[in-house]
Amino acid sequence: MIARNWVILPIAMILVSARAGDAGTLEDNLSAYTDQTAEGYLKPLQTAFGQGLNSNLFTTAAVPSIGFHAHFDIKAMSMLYDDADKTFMATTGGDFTPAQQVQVPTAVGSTESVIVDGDSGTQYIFPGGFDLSSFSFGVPQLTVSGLGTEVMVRWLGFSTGTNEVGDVSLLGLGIRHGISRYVPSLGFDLSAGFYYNKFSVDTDLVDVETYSFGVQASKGFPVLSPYGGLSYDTVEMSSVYTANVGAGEETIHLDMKTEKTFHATGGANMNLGFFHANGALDFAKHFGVSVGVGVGF
Amino acid sequence: MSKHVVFIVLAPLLLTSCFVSTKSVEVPIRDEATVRFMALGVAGSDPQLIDFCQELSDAESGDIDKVVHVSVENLYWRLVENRGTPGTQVTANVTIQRVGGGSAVLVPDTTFVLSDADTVFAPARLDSAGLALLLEGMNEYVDYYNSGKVGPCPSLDYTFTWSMTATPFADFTWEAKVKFTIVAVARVDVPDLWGN
Repeated sequence: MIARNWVILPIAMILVSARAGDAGTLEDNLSAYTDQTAEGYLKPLQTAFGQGLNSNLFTTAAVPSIGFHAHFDIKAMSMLYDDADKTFMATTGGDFTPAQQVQVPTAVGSTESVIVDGDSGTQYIFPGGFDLSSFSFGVPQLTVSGLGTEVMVRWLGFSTGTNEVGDVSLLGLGIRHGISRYVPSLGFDLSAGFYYNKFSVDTDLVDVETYSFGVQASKGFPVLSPYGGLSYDTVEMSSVYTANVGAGEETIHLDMKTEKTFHATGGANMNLGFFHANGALDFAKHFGVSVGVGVGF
Repeated sequence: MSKHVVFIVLAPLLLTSCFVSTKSVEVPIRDEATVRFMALGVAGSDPQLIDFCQELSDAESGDIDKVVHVSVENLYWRLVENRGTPGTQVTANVTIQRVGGGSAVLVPDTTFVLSDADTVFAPARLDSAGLALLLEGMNEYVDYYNSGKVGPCPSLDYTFTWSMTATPFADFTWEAKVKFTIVAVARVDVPDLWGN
């Protein structure tokens, strides 16, 4: 059985309207994995997507104390993969004998499947990946601030048009408070914030939740203002899919291990009156690049 | 405003289509062929036919570029219904014969008591000769597919014959399942900003 839209998970996660032919879904790939090994296959998607959701959340630490301010931005984040993200050790599933551990591609690894020989000429097939060098996506973001406090909202939702996935939605919320207002002699702006993102799919094929707690610093200049931040991020991911391992099909509820990492950001924000743009580098599980453009007052 | 409209408005802003690249990925397609046998009396056999051309065609019915490999992952069996004595002891084997071709043992002689047989599928002990005969035909299908499916599908009719002796008397139905995997290549568009 080959269902449509082989790349439906990357589409759903990256929020890209890439089109595939009538190929299989990621669920076809995952079907070779029990919950013990599916985590290794999906791990690079969890870490990169989670890091992206926890990136590009701010462009300054200056949270205005006076007046009402609002920004609308389009944010794009890209996390790069290295060789270590491309493979993992998987175990043959079901009743295949003898059980074997082999190095196989992750979802971002080589597109070639791996064939394992068993007893009496039987063979077990591990799926290939999508051969991705990066994980990139974009989101719209609205930021409103006043009285030294800022609130951030991200939202995106659409229908994939397939029964395998259904509707996809992303919601991000954040709150930040300016700290430097209490220490006027600091000489730069300082703030602290908390951010939450939730990505979900109707069919529960993929659900991702991220949390980020951190401090931000920036120094204001007329046009180009440097900023940076340090945060502690967590990424939770779960997946519900049908495994075709052993004699029959089985619904797998996979709760992946929560990823916890420190996340450093350094960048600059360019102010051009009503318009602004930013660029930053991110250092966490992956090296990442973030850019954004927007309007606001 | 519906979510769909919001996405349509925002999609161009995401500029994502400019970093989509096409890749050829190997897709494993798992499927199975099932056959049911009857056992009656103190000795006997029951031949059943499977058309693997049809089975493989049904499995790969999608938009794929080529088939690179076909393999058998396992053979399973289960007791469907025992109408006879639970304590009946059975010794049985399964041979496979390609219609118009050779034959070989697929499952060597196995002895069991019906009361110990499970109604849930369990893996069977396989003979490599029988499996090789089956894979020979499946590989012909790979060649047929990759040559553009010109002409009729090669004859991949296989007769599975179950032969048994029973003490004191058998009256049951059982089922076998050949679980196979087709590895196909499909072209897909994936978003990769820094990829080739």
